[in-house]
Amino acid sequence: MEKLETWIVATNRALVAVALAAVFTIVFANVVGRYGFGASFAWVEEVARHLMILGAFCGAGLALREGRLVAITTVPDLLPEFLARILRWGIVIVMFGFMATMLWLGIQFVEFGWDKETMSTGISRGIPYLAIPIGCALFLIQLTFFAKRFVAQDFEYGVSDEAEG
Amino acid sequence: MAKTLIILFFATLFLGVPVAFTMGIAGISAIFIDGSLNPLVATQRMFAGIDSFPLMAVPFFILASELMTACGLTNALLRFANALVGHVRGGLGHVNILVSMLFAGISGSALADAAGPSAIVMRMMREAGYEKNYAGALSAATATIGPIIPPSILAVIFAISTNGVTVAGLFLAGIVPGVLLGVSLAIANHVVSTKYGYRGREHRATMSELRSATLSAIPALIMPAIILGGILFGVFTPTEAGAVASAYALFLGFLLRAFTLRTLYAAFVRAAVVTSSVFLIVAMASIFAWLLTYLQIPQELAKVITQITDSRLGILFILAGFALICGFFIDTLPALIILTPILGPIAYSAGIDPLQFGMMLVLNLTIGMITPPVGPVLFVIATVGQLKIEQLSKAVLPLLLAELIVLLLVILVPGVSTFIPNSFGFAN
Amino acid sequence: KELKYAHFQAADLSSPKHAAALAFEACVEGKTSGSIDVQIFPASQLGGGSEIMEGLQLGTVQMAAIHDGPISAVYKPFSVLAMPYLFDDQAMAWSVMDGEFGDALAEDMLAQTGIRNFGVADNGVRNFTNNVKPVAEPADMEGLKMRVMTAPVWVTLVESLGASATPVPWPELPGALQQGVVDGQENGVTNIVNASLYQHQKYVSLDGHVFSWHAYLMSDAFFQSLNDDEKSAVEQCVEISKTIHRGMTAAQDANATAILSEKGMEVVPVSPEQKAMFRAAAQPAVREYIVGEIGADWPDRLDAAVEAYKAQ
Ligand code: NA
Ligand code: NA
Repeated sequence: MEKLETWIVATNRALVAVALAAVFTIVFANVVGRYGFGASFAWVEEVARHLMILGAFCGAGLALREGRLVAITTVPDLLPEFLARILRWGIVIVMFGFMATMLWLGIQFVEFGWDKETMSTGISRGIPYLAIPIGCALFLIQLTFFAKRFVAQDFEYGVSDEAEG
Repeated sequence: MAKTLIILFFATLFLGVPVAFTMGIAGISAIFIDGSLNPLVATQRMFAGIDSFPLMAVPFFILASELMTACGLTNALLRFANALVGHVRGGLGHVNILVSMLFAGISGSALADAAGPSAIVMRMMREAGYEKNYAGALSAATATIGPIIPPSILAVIFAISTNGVTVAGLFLAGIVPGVLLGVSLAIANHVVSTKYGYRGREHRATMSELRSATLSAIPALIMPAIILGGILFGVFTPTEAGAVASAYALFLGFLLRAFTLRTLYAAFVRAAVVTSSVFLIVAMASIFAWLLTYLQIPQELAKVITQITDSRLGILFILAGFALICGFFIDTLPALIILTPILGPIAYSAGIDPLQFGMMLVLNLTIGMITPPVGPVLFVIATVGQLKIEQLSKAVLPLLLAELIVLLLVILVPGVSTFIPNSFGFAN
Repeated sequence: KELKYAHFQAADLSSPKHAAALAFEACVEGKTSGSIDVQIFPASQLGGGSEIMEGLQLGTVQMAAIHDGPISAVYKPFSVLAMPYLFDDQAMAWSVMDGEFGDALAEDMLAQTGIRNFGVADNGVRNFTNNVKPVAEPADMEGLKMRVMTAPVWVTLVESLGASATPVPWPELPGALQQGVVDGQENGVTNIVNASLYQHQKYVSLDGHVFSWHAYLMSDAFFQSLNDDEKSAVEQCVEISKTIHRGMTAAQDANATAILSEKGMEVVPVSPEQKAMFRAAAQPAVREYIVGEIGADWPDRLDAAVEAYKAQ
């Protein structure tokens, strides 16, 4: 189980890092192309946007693990620990319910967008819309594994924080 | 529907649900309970809210500042600032201010400054005998320069949600207010240091110290030149400027052999996850803001406000006061995304320049980052410096006053925000 | 019944779309004695073109005046209207769009998308501008770097004329011109003036390659929920809106030379012979592209409608 979780987190990290790196590469290459070779491409802008959206929704679970989803904790902090824990379990359930709803709506939205086209590449608009159900599903998996530690507020430092010491 | 939306938002917010989700939960619940709107509009807004090329400047500036930090250039900036102003009265305090202004030219966020250079100078100030809460308060206050001097994540977010305002224009609008913030904090620091006898370093930096500090800071100082110069003189758009800045930091890191594959990968992961937490808020807030517009709440609010006064300045003051109060209770980014479409139209129909209004709102809500109860920068400093929020909040008061004076100037004198962008042809 | 009406221009009376929307509101509310409550959302308040097209299908927006790009992404045959140098003047364009051809296109769109098209007004005819040299015929386009909208058909158009095409999204266009990222661009007089594009563009060639179409669309589900009186009120009031919208942009196009010279641009006239040269260079390439996308049926019908008008 623990091995599975480690693997999921590592894969998720690789996914968001690769998405960002890809976006960075094509946008930078487009600048170089424009000045160096007088060439620029209509698809760059759209592909970059859609890749970044995929990366953004897919990173939600990681943001949760690293405690980067900011919240106002004044009230939970005032409560005695065991009540605060109950409240946090409530928050976990609410987040789960919300993201499960968005997953379900996201799938319908992909179907809705399937017969439409994007403006520049002309691919089915359902394809970029997949970012929502994929991101929500990943978040739900991460939340399932991490729920207990979220309630204990035992956040994980990012791979980068370790490296910095 | 409006009631469900607003009650659920505040209820979840104060119970500690992550801010991004509060807006989504309130939105989708209101839609389901009301039953007259197709719920797919929520997924549509969630996607459309972050489907913007100018918004992509955000990940790039986050990446650039991650890479710069990984290069160790923050320390070089610190040495440079210390060599320049370390010797005057309250020297380290001024170093704190100057290094934040320099860092602001690289980074677009106050939190990055608070957790980075400001936290480092805070430690130096405490070792040098500054009262620990003052050191913390100054570090928090100076961190707010980050999103005012370009680049700025908040400026990007405002610009993408406002017709007729470009990211480049609003970046330029931040230069004068950013410098004024620095000057105003420097005056406050001078007064405090005189009162408590905080001295500067024993001796002025020698020419050779100054030269070596400058040389080592040059690679870091080139970054803002690339970003601003590139945008000003027409080489690229702000989004592309972010990508070029990242490429420059990458190049520099390889040149200085500052990266291992591991640290490089880590920088990308971290930038991606930070981006994700920002984009999630933008996406969810866009559900919430859309519903507010759909329910015509801004229009209603506009009616109320224009009944009170129809003078341009009067309206600007009311809007500023409203934003200031929101800034106490709501985190900066969600507050900005929610308020921009609500207050903006009121301001523009009163004839207020969108650049001035944008600068007012960004500065206003940024100041909210150092005010309790919800002051993210204050929290970071309190955590890093192991300080009590209550005492830190008290110590921040005189500095808050210094920042409010700048806000007042931005409100009273449109030119503070509009002069530079206008002279480079960014006008409405 | 609430009728949420979205458009994308600024909320002032000099914007053709807004003036038309206000007229629609007053007209419909008057004719139905308020049984339809029209709420106007100007300046993309409820979202951009693509989102509003989706919104018409989702039922979150009931009515909108939308430009051609987002329509084509949902209803592909609409892109046939990107055929360049087709209409000699506005009278001809409107006659074709108001006639059998326009009706057939609207009917097909309704069947395929559930969106009712009450017909089109236009944002003016599009002209090339640049900051380098006067352009009067295709040979002059050589070596110019032109901004185009971010869809491939516009790249085809500009490249068929010998210039190089750089796709730039609309919001970034003023910056790109100011900064010299591109030498030129193409737009109607309304946009050239309202977005201050003239500030960094010295030359404008009145070649009038295509019309910027703005269609008056309504969610058919909403339309069907109206009673007969309401339906006819909506139909009559859209006609008034279209007339206002067309009148305002036509006035600008008719006075293009005066308006643009007053803004400091050098207006380069394009004679019918020169326009024929443009047509010969661009039409075959763009036609081939469009046929590849949507087949030959709609292009043929459009040609036939144009021929029929000329034969009159
Ligand atoms: Na900055
Ligand atoms: Na600082």
